[in-house]
Order: sequence, then structure tokens, then C-alpha cells
Amino acid sequence: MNANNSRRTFIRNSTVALTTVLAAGTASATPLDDAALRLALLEDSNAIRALQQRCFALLEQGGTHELAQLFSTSAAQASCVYPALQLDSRLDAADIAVADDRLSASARFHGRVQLAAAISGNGTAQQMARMQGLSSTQWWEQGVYEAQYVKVRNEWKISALHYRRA
Amino acid sequence: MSTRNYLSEPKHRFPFTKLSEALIGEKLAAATGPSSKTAFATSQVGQSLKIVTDTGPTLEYHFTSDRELTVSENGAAAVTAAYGALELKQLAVLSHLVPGTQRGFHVVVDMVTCLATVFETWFSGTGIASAREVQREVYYGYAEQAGREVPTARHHITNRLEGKGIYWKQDNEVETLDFYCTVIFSNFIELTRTGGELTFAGPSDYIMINDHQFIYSRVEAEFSGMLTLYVLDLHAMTQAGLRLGFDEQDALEYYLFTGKGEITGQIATFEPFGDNGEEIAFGNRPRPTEKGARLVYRPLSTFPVMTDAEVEDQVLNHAHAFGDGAGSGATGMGGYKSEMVESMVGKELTIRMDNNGPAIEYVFDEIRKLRWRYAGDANWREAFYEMYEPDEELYFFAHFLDAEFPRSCAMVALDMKNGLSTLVKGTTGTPYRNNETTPNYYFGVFEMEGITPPRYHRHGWTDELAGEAVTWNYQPGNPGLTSMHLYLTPNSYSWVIFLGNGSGGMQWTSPGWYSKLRDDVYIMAWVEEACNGTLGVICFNKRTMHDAGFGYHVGPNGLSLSVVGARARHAGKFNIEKFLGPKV
Repeated sequence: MNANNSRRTFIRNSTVALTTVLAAGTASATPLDDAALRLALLEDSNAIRALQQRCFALLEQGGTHELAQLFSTSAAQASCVYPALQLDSRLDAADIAVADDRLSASARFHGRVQLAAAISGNGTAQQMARMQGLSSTQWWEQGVYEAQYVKVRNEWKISALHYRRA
Repeated sequence: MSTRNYLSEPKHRFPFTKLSEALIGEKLAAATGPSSKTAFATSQVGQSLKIVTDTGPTLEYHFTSDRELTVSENGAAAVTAAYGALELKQLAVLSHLVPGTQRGFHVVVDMVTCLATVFETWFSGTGIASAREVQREVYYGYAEQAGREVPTARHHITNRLEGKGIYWKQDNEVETLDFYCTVIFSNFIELTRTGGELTFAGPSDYIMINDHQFIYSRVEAEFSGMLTLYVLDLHAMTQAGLRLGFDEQDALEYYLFTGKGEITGQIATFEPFGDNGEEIAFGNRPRPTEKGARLVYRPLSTFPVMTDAEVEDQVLNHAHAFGDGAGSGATGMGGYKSEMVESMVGKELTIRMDNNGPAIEYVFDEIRKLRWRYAGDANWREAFYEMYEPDEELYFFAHFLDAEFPRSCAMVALDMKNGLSTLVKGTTGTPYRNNETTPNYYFGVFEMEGITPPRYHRHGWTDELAGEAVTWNYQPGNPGLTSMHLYLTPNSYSWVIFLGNGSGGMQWTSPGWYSKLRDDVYIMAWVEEACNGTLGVICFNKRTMHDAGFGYHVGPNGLSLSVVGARARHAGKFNIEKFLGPKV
């Protein structure tokens, strides 16, 4: 995701973002509406991060119905590409960019994810594994989620979500 | 006249009598207590012993002699029973049946700590198909001692024996190789009883007394149902225990024994450090709670019975090789398969097997399609194939042969550096089941333009892998889909399926065949006889710890030829060569 002059980019380390706001306020006579805008963008970024974390939690819990509520439309959700079985995630680094009009945003989340896939096949090994309570294979990998967001009735929703192995 | 004992049929084929509950009752009623080659313990004569268990019975014993006791169960009226007891250091093992029932108690007492473990056994278990199979429940507790505080510690299950192999020679000269390779199953090779050709497995218990003394039991479920139970001491390498069950002639075998042992090896275990096996990782299945319930692999009950007509229909009309030419995905057992060989496309050759074995001509038209015909035939047949390169210029490929019943496949190794070829021809049907596979193994050469085949060099049989343990990871993940192969005799092997925490779990066994193609490169073939009938053949490179292989299986869902591709780790080796094979 490239920096874009029409978007403000916030790195996950909110301390950095806040410091930037404070530094801007200290270093020059920034107009109040610009500071308010920066604060609003920071709040948007935090809301988007919370939205995405909720999405990951529901993916891991299998909360299908609640997950659907996080998307802007059902069509948007249907077009998304994300793992069928995600068990855990350690997605730390996040690049969130909110548009100046604060009606759309994009983000990229990096980190490690634990995925699972149902054990396939019906050979002896698979049968015995299932008998012993193992229904899926599980593994960790470096992953990247790329997402788009829109604001619907003043609430951020996911309009696109795509997962790929890093 | 052979001086070694072999069964008329191997254990997994032996027609063990379905003994009725009534007949078992008669045989038990006639029993006069356990016998023993070693003299029974006598220090308990005239004494009383009260065993209190946490979740089971309280047993109050009075030993009127070294062969007779009275026992009261939970305060009920005492009954007189024949018994036997042995001592191993500070441990006492006593065993008796309960007259008028099909039950028995087998008690291990540590006379220093006063801790006790009680095995309650019974025949004719509810819901168990075979009345002759010994059922057991294990209780932990203590021996009550006047003036002594009730101990809070208990014996408990453990993984501290996992990975060990021990050769045992009992006081009655019976020799056995035991392998404790999981936390709920074990392998055994009966050197004396059945000639030591094959390894078998059974559900087992592993209980820790202390760091060097353990209780082990196994039941030959799916076979005779026999119980073997003993305490073992890893300092002195001694054992004391019992056998209870019905043998191949349906005679009651009930005796105590002592024995001396020798460790044959210790293979790797895969639990996280600090996990000492005090819980079984049952994953997402409910923990067994019913009395006697345990995880038992019962392939005979899940192996579908098919008529000849049904098998014929499947092999002729529902045969699928490698996705019908679309290719094998990286699913199932092929999660780590290599790239397919393309360099043979356009080439022609003939494999020619020794001793009037098949001679087959090939034209590799495409990467997934070949033409073949038996040498001398006029007509070519087309077949889907996949070819892999498990070692440099060593190719391994497979395809269906003619659409006929029984139906065959060819799995062919081409050793381009040595001009050699090995063929495993798998054909549906065995004398026992029409949905098993019979492998026929051939060594020979291949003929190709520019290559002169050798006259005397051949690939050949080997026992170099005997005793080796290798894990095979078929799908990503830990444990993912992973098994451990134990190549325990030159004629058989066992596979272990791991539990979620890396402990060895259930296992089973089958006959197997091992051949050597080059240094560190082998073909290992097996048929899951009396299980699901699959023929598996892998070409295993011990340098890369990778394989290329194929599975051939017929069942209600068709006849399939599929790829095997897995990543191996060496888990260790048991030094058992001196115990195996024909003896002087």
C-alpha cells in the first residue's frame, strides 16, 4: 500500500501518532480545525483497528452471524478471501490509512496466523487421527490481511478483506 | 521338523473362536488359580491387607496360604479364592479371579510407600463384540496401614516409558520383544510363541510407580483378547506379572511369571518438554468415562465386507488414477509430494523382470499419460501416471494395468544410473478378502536406447531398516497428519498416529516388504491386511528424508491410485537384528 497524498497514514504504534500530533501542535501555530481533524483521524484509525480485531476474533470463534454484521454488505463479504479456519493470530504491525473525508480507509495487517484445515481423505491414517480427536491440521504462517473500509451510518464497516501468505 | 512355533495362520488372520459367555464361565469355573514357574511369594501368609482405591473398590484380603486367600469387596461377605503373588524388590503383584464371576483383581502394592494400583478385569464385556477380550479398569489407591497416615500421592499414568524397547525372557523361557512407543498402545514381537515374523499391537496402560519402576499392561484386542500385565524395574531390568486369557486353542492361560530384560533401544518422543503424560490428549473427542472404556483401534469392525460383484463393479467402473489425469492435489497423504518428472516425456523403454516376471513396454507420451503393453502384445493401452524422482536419476511411477477383475496396478522404479528396475504389481484380492491387495514383487532391468542393462546386478531384499523408527509428516502442522513408522521386522511394520500433543496414540501393524535400490534408498511396501486392504509403496531416500510413493485401494467408493509424498524425521533405532530372522 503506497502512501497517498489524499490519505493520512497511521502506524500501529499510536504513541508515535499521538506524539506526531503533539509535536505538530508544539512546533507551529496549527489551526484548531487541523488538530481536530488529526484527532478525528486517529479515532477513526483506532475504530478500524478495533473493528478488524473483532473480525479476527470472530473468525477464530466461528461466529458466522456476528461476523456478517461487520461487513458493509453481504455481497462485499462474499467477495472476500480469508481462511476458512483461523485459530489464532498475532497480527501486530498495521498500516491504516484513512481518507481525508473520513468515509473510507484501507489497511494492511502483518503478523503470524494459526490456520487449520480439515483432515482430508479417508485413509487409515486419517481415520485413526479423527478417532483420536484430531479433525484438522493446524499450522502457523506469516500472513497479510489487506482490507478496505467504508463508513456506514457513522460506523466503520469492512468493504473488502483479502488474506494472503506473506 | 521345525523347532520354532508358528501359528497356522498369522495372528491377524487367525480365526479366534467367538467364545460364548457361558463357555467362558465354564472354563473360569474350572480354574484353580494362576500357575507360576517362579515360586510364589510367602511373606504375606497369615497376614491381612486392605486396599483402598479412590474410585473403585475397597478390597480386604486375608492370606490363608500362598495359594488361597479370602477377599471382601466393599465390606461384603468374604469369599475364598485361589491366588498367586510374586515380589519384585519392594513391589508385590497378586492376582486372583472372583469365584462364580468372570471378574478378577490384579493388585500391585509398593510395600514401602503403601501405594497400590488395582486392575479389575472381566470377560464378556457389555458392548464388546468379543467376549474373550479381557476388559480392564484401573484404580489407584493405597494399602491401609494401622498407625500410618493415608498417603496423598498416587501411582499415575505416564509417558516415561514411551520410546523404549525391551527384550524379555520369562522364567518359562518365553521370549518377547516389547516396544512402548505410544502412551495408549504398544507393539510386541512374540519370538517364542509365534516365531517372531510379525509385530502386532494392542491397547496398553503405562503407570508410573517411580522413576525406575512401572506397571505395563496390554490386551490383544482384535486377536485372542489376552491380557499381559507386569511391573518392570529399569534398574535391575526385571519384570514380574501375569498372563490371563484364552489362547489360540481356547485354553485358559492364567499364570504369573518373572523375567529378565535387555533394553533394545530408545527412540525419540515428541511431546513438549515438561509434558510427562499425566493426561491423555483426547483432542476434540470426549474422554472415555464408562468403566473399562479406552481408545481401541478395531479395523476388523470398520473394514467393509464386499461381494465379488461389488468389487468387480468398483475396479471396472469406478477406477480413478491421479484425479483421472488431472493430477494429484497436495491433499491426503501427498501433502509434500515433489514436482513430477517431465524429462521422460517422449522416451520409450521396456522393463524386464527376472524369473518370468512381467516385461512391459512404455512410451511416455505426456507428463501424465503413457502408453504401455506387455512385451509381445500388439495393442497399446493408455494410462494416467505420475512419476517422481526420489533420488538422482531414480524414477518411481505408477499406473493402472488392464481393466479386468481382479485388477492390477504397476509401481515401477527405474534406476537410470544402474540400468535396474523394480516392479511392485498390486492386484486386488487376497485369499481372505476381495478388497485387499496382493503385492507381487519383481526385480529386473530396463531396456532403453543407449543403455546396456546389467546381467547380474539387481536391486534386492534387505533387512537394513529393521528396528528403524521414522516419522512421516503428510500434511503441514504439528502434529498435522503425521505417523511414525516402526520397521520392526523384515516382514512387517507398525504405524503410530500421534495425539494432538505429540504423544504416540493408536497404532496398527501390517506385513511389509523391504528392498534396497541404492545406498540409503529403499522401497518399503505394505498391505493393510485385515484393516482396509490398501497397498502402500514408498521409495524412501534416507539422505533427503523424503519419499515418493503410491497407494492402491479398492473399497465401496471405487478403486484408486493416489500419490504419497511426506517428509520424514529419523526417530531412532531399536537394535533387534540379533533376535530376528532364521536362527542357527
